[in-house]
Amino acid sequence: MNKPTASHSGWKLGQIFLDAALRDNIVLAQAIGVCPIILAGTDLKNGVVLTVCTLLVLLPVSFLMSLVGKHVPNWLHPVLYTVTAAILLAGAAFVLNNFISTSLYAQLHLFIPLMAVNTIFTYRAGGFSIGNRPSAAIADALGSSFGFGLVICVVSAFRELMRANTIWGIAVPVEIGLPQAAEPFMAFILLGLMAACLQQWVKHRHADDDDLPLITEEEVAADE
Amino acid sequence: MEPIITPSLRVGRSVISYSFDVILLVACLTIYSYVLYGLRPVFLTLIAIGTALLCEAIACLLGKRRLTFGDGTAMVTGGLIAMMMSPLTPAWVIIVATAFAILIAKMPFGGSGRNVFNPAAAGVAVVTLCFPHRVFIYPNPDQGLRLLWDTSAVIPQASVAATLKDGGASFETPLNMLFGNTPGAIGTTALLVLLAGLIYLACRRTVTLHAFIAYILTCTVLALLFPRTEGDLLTGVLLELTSGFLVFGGIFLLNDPTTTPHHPSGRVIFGIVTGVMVMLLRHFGRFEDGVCFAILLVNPLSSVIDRWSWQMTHFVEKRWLHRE
Repeated sequence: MNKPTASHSGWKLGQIFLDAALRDNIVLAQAIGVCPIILAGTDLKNGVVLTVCTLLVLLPVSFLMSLVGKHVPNWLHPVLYTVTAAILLAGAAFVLNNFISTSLYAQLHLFIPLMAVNTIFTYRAGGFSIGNRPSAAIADALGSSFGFGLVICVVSAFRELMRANTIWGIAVPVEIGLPQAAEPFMAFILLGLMAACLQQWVKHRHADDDDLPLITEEEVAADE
Repeated sequence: MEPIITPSLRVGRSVISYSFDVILLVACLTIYSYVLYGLRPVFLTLIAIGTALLCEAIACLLGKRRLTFGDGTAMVTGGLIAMMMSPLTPAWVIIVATAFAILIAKMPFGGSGRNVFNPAAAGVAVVTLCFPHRVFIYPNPDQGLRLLWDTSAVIPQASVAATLKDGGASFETPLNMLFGNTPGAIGTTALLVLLAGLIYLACRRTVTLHAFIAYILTCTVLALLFPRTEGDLLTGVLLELTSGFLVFGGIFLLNDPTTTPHHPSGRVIFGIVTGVMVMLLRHFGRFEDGVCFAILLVNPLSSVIDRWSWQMTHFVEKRWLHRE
């Protein structure tokens, strides 16, 4: 058993967080969770609500899967993380509707339950978390939510600006007036451009870096 | 034969000769349009080509690359976009379309020979989606307009494609359609010029006719099976084939050397699939014409179609012709 030292572990967790958020961005590099961005990411408020929902759900689900994932049979994994996510999202929807904003809930009432079957949970909670330490799973969940939030906030702010000349409901003196920005094609174009920029940045930044595996096989073996 | 998989471009003389031929045809169509509408189409075409060259230069400078507009593909994109616009379209719409085509649909993919989507189709598709009311407004060519800037006094006419889309009967005769004497875009109505251009391109070996013939046949069959007008079936089919961007797209967008398959049987498949998409979009789409969208939808498939075609050829030659 050669457990990594505390500092090494902390560095590694930071690395997992940063990679999930930026370098292997969940949307731009892994193409996961595109659907809510395309459909609901037309308003910065929607973007923030969906980010918070993702964070609040992905964090406990990932943690749970990293704890119990190895002890339940493989066929039960999807049931486990989908049902947990659905229960948490039902709670989140209740809180949003009753305590935060009924009108926001009216806009998002379709998309919040749909998050439960989002591929974000399939790949992060059902993929990465199983077989990783809980701390790594939490770092990954935080990074993934942060990366998702970054992309959906940028896209929805852009689309809100183009669509209604406002950001967060506040009028800005930029007159674009393109109501078609709320249609899916604009989000696809924005995502494509952002993905291209990310690839360019990664290419420049990591031009001479070795591609280190995040969790070595020894560590996984040590945990088991 | 060496397999060439799309997106790719055979570099060298053939690119420049392709660009030269297409620009020549764009010039012919612009002159024809000058006869019909006056100076405005010429002005719009020049604006589109100028914007395309400027955007290509900007993109090359930003990417710190050698200037690449020598191969003429930027001029081709600009010219084709202008041909698909109405003479009444404001100049800024054409500038937006061309800038989108070059700066987003072409250069980020790596420039000429590497773009997956046809830039001209992408530019027109985006302005169609964003400003449909500024794209599908067509003047009547009979009025002999001499308009350069002010277009507010012109009464827009419904094109034949729009009439077909609304399910109404069109009063245009197919002969009128052939001469381009109907409301339509700058370069897409003059069918005689377009067909003469196709023969010229085929004689110069700039294009092969596989894709075009497969595409037109598919559209004809689908128009026969699912007519959109009541009454004479033959007239309906002829109107369907002569309206909108159908022939123009078949000649210029379907034969783009970068974004369509290279293998002959791949080109036939590409033509058939595009024809089906065009007719589907005409029946169920939101706009009166869906040729640009059809081309964009089929473009990403061309590399797969190309690869399968080469593999099939190889398989057939080995299996039945015993040739290596």
